[in-house]
Amino acid sequence: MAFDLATLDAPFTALKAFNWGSDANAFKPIDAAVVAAHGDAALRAELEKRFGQLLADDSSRATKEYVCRKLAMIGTSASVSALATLLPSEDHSHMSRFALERIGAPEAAEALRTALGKVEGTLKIGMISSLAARGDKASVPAIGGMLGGDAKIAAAAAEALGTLRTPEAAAALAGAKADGDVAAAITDARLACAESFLAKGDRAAAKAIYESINAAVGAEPKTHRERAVRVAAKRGLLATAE
Amino acid sequence: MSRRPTTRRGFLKTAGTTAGAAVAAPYVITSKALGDATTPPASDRIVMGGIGIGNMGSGDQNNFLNRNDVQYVAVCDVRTKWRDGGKNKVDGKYGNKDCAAYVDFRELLARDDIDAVHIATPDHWHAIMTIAACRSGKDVYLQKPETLTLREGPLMIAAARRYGRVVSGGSQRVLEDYRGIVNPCWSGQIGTIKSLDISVGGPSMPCYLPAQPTPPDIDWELWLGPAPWEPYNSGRCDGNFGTGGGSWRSYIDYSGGSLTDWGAHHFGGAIFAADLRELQPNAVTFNSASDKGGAYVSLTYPNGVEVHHNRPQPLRPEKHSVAHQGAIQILADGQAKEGKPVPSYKGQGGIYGDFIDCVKTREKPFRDIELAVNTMTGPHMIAIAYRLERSLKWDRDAQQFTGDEEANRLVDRARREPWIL
Amino acid sequence: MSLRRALAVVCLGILSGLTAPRPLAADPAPTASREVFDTVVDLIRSGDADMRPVAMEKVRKGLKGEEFTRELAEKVLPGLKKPEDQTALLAALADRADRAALPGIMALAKGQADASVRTAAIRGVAALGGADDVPLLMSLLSGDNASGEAARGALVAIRGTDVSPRLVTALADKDRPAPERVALVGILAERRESATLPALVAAAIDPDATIRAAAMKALGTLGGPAEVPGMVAGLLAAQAGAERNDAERALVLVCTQNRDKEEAAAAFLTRFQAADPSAQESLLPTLARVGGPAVMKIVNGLIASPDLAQRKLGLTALSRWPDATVKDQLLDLIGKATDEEERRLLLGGLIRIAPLPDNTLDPAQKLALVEQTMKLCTRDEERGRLLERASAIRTVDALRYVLPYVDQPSLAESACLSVVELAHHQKLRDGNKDEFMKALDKVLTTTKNEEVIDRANRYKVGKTWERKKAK
Repeated sequence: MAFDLATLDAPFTALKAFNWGSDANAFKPIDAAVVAAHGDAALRAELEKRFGQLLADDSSRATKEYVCRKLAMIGTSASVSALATLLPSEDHSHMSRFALERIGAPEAAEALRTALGKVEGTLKIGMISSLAARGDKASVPAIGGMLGGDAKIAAAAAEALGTLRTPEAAAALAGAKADGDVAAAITDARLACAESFLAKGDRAAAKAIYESINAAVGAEPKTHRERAVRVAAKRGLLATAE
Repeated sequence: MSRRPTTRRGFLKTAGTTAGAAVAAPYVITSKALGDATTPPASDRIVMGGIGIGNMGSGDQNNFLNRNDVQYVAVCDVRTKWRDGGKNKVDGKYGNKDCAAYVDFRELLARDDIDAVHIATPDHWHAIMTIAACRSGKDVYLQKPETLTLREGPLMIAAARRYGRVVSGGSQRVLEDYRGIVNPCWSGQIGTIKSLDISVGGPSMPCYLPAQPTPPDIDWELWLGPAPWEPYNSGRCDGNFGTGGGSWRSYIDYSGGSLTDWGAHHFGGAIFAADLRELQPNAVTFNSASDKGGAYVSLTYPNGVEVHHNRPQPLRPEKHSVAHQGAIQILADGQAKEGKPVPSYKGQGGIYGDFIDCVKTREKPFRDIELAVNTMTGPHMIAIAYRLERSLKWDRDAQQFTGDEEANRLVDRARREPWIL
Repeated sequence: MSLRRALAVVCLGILSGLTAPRPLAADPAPTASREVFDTVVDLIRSGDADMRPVAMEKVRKGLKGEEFTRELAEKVLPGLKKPEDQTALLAALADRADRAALPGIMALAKGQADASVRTAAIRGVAALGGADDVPLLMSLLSGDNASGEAARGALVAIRGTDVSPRLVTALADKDRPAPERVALVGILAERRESATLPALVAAAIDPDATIRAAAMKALGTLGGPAEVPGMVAGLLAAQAGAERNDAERALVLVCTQNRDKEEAAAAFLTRFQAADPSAQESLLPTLARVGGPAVMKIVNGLIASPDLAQRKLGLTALSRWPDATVKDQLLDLIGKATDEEERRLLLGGLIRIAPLPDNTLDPAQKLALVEQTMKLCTRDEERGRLLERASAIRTVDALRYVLPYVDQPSLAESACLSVVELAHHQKLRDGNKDEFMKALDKVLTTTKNEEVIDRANRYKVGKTWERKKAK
């Protein structure tokens, strides 16, 4: 039976006026509509349209947050544009990613990649984080290029490359020069790449990483972290050998 | 155990100079630190710190602090009250002012003198902190529920295995409270297990509490961390054990609700009893509400065992069944089979002793992170099925739901910058 | 760079002073496996705790072949200096599941190694061994605490079709020391094999009281209808006091809780009816705890007897009835009782059964029976006992009934205990949070019992309380 869209008018009106502390029961029917949108393209399109309007207008942060949570569940390429508008916003960037990270449409990845080149600081880290979580291999060159810059962004870039684990990611990591937290993140990411190569049967590539890390950590590691890295390298070397 | 006592003492001397640290007292070797007939010398003790010191964290701290083979040196909490209370407890125990107190867990993890940490923050922090601790070469005792999303589990296991860390989950009940069902199952007495019924509360809910002025005794940004930004409200972040509202355990951004909170115990006990420890469900069935009762969800494991959450029929004694306090009922075929010895804790002192013993021996603890993750996988899947009101198939190798793109969106959620997993 | 050379770079520091790294030229088989094996051995011998699990992972799941197993068990294992390295290797060899490790492991189990090493070796024998290894493990039962306890666990865990027959033969050997035979009873019980039940039945009438007691306890867990006649013989053989009480509990368990309990109860009745009068007198109180219509007929016959001794036997049996179906009869008899001792006996029975589940009374009816019983109590000792029993009715009405008694000094402690017992049940407590919070506050201002105070404080903050295990 088709969903009665008229039943959503009042809840959407309530949602538009929502702020933290006001009555959330008034827009609860939207939750049910989101669930019902599974397999109902018309309802889904209608919901996305109404959600998009709420993102575009002057609704509260609480309203936009609610909308992003719902678009994380049912959003499609149709919602990407409205969400992407919020990516540079300090207040809304995260919740925009909350939806875009989970929307499978390639347009969502494209929006995140575009924003990656535009936003700065912690917002850039957010883009890196979401692109990695999506497994977006196309972003490897851009993220790899951030290993030499700002330390916090470089560390996040290393983390992301350790999630993406492509040969190009491994090469970018191997060529990076860093110290402190960035170096630690790079080592961790390289170990993750080696595990991935080993799992795929590329022992030579894995071994090269393990040997490099093994040599770098030295015979007498001084810290807990170095000792742990040595364990990782040795474990990996043994795994590549048999 | 401290491998470099001199270094540690050197560090302790200057610990208070780091940003965020609240203690600058010089380290003095007290008679307690030197050891006596029953206390190992400081150099042989496990040096520990605690992250998240309220509620369960306080209990965990007590258990570790009261061990002779632990030297407790640091606490971390984003709330002044818990941080100061935790520090005072340690200082009172050792008769000095040496315990360092941190707001930011990264500063505690940066200390190389610390061998192991216990973590009892809200659940949205567990994966990030555990993985960071493993990378810094520390062993971890992590309160249950160990994960908030399905994606976090494999990453936590990978970090533990990669660096050879001991990571113990934190449900003390799994081994201690459920012997009445565990023993008959493991002995083979009731035969091959067919199904489990678990009665425990449901998933967490959205939080729409109004904004309140943020009090000065909490670092709200760090409390929220990777969770969506929301205004401060005392009921949002209260650490009480309720799951019906007014505690972080109630809300979806920070917890899986009663389903994962008490569920970590009940599912843990039931899964241990039925020895599904190494398995993850491969099917999740959403059963709509009927005249028999409300909707409920069932899990099917690869060996055919079914686990029902809140199936609307009274748990009643049946032939070939064992039950735990009306919360768990296990049905078997009654064909007695060969038993097997029940695994137990290592060391002395329950799950805490098990963890410390494993830190020393490098063995896997009873609630190894892999068991913990497998245990929590079921409740997380159940929550997703309730949310989507439909049945799902799970591909363990891919860690994805099969053929349901919308369900896969709920396997994880975007973290607030600058936090990344 | 070869694997060993690569690892040697970082191994050097650890190995110095412990064991010299073997030159590459000494490798007997320069294959990849041999190279990995040597590396693993180097890691084990290094004594580096961080590297131990890395090496053991390979022992458990890699390095295929008996040759490696034997070398690890016979050459590497005994030469390790640290007990923790030896115990770790023993555990890994056990998991490796290659019996080629057994000779090396057995040598350590029998030897004078550190207790933790012997214990791990004994566990290893259990994991890899079979019936032929039972004599060795039995010889270790009487060893020191560590070895004895490990051997006991190993004899429970060890698998093989001939294992249990060997244990049964050993149990039947009356020349063996009684403590060892008691241990064997426990081991057989934990192995839970039905074929060994006749041996436990035979042990239930052993001349040695400790063996009888252990056998009856085991049968209480494992027994069924076929074991009942033997258990009745065991009950009759038990000495009055603790042994008899425990034996009675075991037999009642078999007839009321275990598999095929109805058939077991019928078997008990049959055995009772075939017994001589003096044995029947001895068995009736136990039979009454099992209950059932046929037993009730016997009990009623005795109560109606003009013989005062017979009547007392019947009343005693009635007071031990397992459910509340006898409530009306008890109330009637209490009302008519002229003898104070008889009245107390029956009232004791009523207090015990009032809150019991019997499938006929709902919680409200049970509470009504408790209230009715309270009116019949004449002594505070009886009232206190009834208040404590009332906590078996897990309703908020039970709390409301018990709570006012907290204000009566002579009954306050019993009432407080009952309140915390009710509060122990989380669902009940959480469902009536306000009432329980107030009740627990009242308990805290009243009781002097430290355990009750601890429990009340725990329940107030949502924590649970660990009940001490019964001995």
